[in-house]
Amino acid sequence: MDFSQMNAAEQAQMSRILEKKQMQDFLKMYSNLVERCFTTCCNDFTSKALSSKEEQCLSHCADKFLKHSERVGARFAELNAEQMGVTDK
Amino acid sequence: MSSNGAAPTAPQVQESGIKAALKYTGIPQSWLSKRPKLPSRNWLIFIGITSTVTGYYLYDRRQCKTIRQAYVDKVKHLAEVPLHSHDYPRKVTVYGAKWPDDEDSDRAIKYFRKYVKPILVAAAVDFDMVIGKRYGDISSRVADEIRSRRRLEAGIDPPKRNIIAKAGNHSPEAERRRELAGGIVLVGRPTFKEFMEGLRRGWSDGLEKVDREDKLARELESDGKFDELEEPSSPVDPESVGDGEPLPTKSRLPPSTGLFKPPYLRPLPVDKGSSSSSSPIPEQFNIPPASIPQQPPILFVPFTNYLGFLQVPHMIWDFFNQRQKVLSGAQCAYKLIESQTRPFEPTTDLDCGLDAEHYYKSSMKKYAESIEKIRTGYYKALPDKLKTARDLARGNREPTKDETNYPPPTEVELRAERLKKELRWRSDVSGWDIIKPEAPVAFDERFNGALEVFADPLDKETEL
Repeated sequence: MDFSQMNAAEQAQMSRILEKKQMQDFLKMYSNLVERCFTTCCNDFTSKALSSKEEQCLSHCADKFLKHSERVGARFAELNAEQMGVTDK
Repeated sequence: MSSNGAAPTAPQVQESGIKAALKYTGIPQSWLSKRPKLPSRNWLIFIGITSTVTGYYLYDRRQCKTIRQAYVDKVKHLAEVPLHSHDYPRKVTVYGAKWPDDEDSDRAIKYFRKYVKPILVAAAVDFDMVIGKRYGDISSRVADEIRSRRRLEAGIDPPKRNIIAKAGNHSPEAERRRELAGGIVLVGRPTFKEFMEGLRRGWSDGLEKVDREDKLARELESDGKFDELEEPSSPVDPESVGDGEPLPTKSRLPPSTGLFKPPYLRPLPVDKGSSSSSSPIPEQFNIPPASIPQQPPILFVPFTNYLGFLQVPHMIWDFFNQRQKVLSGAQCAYKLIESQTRPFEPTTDLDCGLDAEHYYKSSMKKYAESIEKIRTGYYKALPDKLKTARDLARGNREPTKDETNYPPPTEVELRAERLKKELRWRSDVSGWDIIKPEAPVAFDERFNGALEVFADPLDKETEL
C-alpha cells in the first residue's frame, strides 16, 4: 500500500476500497465467532433462556477468539515485516 | 467308551470333570489324554531367543514412554500459564552442526527433535533450529551475527525500520531481555567447538563486511591457472596452447587480457567503495572490545553419532537402549526449563562431551590431504577442458557430433565452477580445522564473565 505515489483522488478511492474490505473482514470474523461459540457452548435446547453456564462459556469463547485473532494478526504482521525487510535489503 | 472312562476316573472325579466336559466339545480324545511336555530343544532355543529380544525391545520402548511422560508431567503446568496476546513465550536457539564424515547433516538436530523437543513443547518453550550443513557453517553464521550486531551498536549500519507496525514491545531492550531469558542449545561436541570459535571470531575480528565469495574470486583471478599462452591475434602455435606453462612463455604477455575476463570478474569502477556504503570504518571500531556483553546461557546436549561398519555394535546397542538417550535428553530439557544458571567454568566445561571425539572416523585424520588430492586432480584435468572451450569459442575447430549434442562447458562456466569448488574446499578444510580432535576449544579471557551454563536444578554441581 504505497500512498505516496498516488494523488488525492486515487488515495480516496484506495481508502474507500480498504474500508470496504475491512468491514467485510470484520463481519466475517463476527459470523465465525458466533458460529463457533454457539456450536461449542449451546447444546441443550430444553429451555429457551441462556443458562449461567452457557453465559460463562460464551464470554470465555468470545474473549479467547478475539485474543486469538489478535495474536494471529501480530504473528502475521511480524512475518510480513520480516519478509519485507528481507526483500528490501 | 464312556464306561471305560467313567470306571477308572471315579475316585478322581474332581479333576477329570473338566476332561469329561471337554470330551463333548469335539476335541480328539488323544489330545486330552496326552501328557503335556515341553517343545523340543531347538524350539526352546528359538522361542527363548526371540522372546528375550522382543521382550527387551518392548521393555525399552515402554520405559522410554514412561520416562518421557514423567518429565512432561513435571513441566506441563508451565504451558497453562496465561500469556498476553502481544507477549512472546520463551525462545531458545538450537544449533546442530554436521558430524565429521556424515553425509546427513541433520543428525544432531534429529537427536534434538526426538529426545529434547517433546519436553520443550510440553512446557511451551519456543525454539529456533539452526543446522550447519557443512563444517564451519555455524562458526561463520555466529560470527556474522555478532558482527552485524556490533555494527548496529557502533552506528555503522542504520537500524532496520519496519514499514508495518508490529504489535507488542519490540524495543531493543525488550528484545535483549527476551534473548537473555532464552538460551542456546548446542547438540554434540562439534557444534560446541564451532560455536565457541564463532564467538571468538565474532568478537575479535574487525567490523568490515567481508564477502567471502568476492574475496576468493579476487584471489583466484591472479592465480594464473586460467592463463593464456599467446595473444589472440598472433599466429597460433599448436603445442603451446595450454595454461600454467613454466616461466619463459609467461613473461611474454600480461596475465589475462581484458577481453577474456568474464564480465563479473572485470575490475568494477567502484571497487573499494562498494563494500561499505560509506568511507572505511574508523580504526577505533576495529579493535576487539575489551569485554563481551552477557551471552544467553548455554546448554550442552551430549550426542554421539555412530558411523561406519565398525560402529555397528554401538548402533545395535543404541537401538535396544534408547531409554538412556530419552533420559539424558529429558534431563537436558528439564535443566533448560528450570533455568538455573551458573557461570561458565573453563576447567571443566570446555571438555564437555569429549568422549564423543573417540568415535570420529579415522579416515578424517587425513582430511586435508584428501582435499588436496582432489584439488590437484581437478587442476590437472582443467587445461584440457579449457583448451576445448577456447578452441570452440574462437572457432579454431568445428565441434564434433558429441560436442554439438552435449556442449562442453564454456570458459565462463569453468571459471564459475572453479570458484565454487575452491570456496567449498577452503571452507571444508577450515571447518575441519575447527572441529578436529587436536584443535582445542576456542576460548578467550573475555568470555570468563560473559558466559553462563544451565545448571542441574536440584543441586548446583558442575554437571553438564
